[in-house]
Amino acid sequence: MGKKLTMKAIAPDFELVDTQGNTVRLADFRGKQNVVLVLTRGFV
Amino acid sequence: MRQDYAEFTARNTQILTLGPDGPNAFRRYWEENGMPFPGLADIRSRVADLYYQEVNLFKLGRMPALFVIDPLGEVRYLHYGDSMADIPPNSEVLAVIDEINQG
Repeated sequence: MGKKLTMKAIAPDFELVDTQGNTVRLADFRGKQNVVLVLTRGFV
Repeated sequence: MRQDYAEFTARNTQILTLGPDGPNAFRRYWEENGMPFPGLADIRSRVADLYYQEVNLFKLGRMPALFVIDPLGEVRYLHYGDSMADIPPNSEVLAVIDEINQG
């Protein structure tokens, strides 16, 4: 409880599959794009 | 965020949305709502845990959280919501991105 990431920390990498079946890896955006990562509570 | 998607795209920024729903529920929601950015089912909330997304047992779920990650992979903005609706305004997030892009 209470633990948080800190500014300027390297964002933890992850690999997940999107709704179209594509594998998405955070590291894929490295050196290319900014990423806005939104963690939701769910939709259903 | 969906309405302003073009604003993010114009700033060389990809939005990734994660949630605890299973892949099928996620796909259904994404298709029904025509979401333009990737939706990722976070199986067993593994990534949510990596990012310390807060679990609120009283409110029976996770609080929203939002991060801006620059091309170096560094966290440049972070927001941990303290209620279900506590999500920063797009204008605030876009301002952070503008700052990153200006180097």
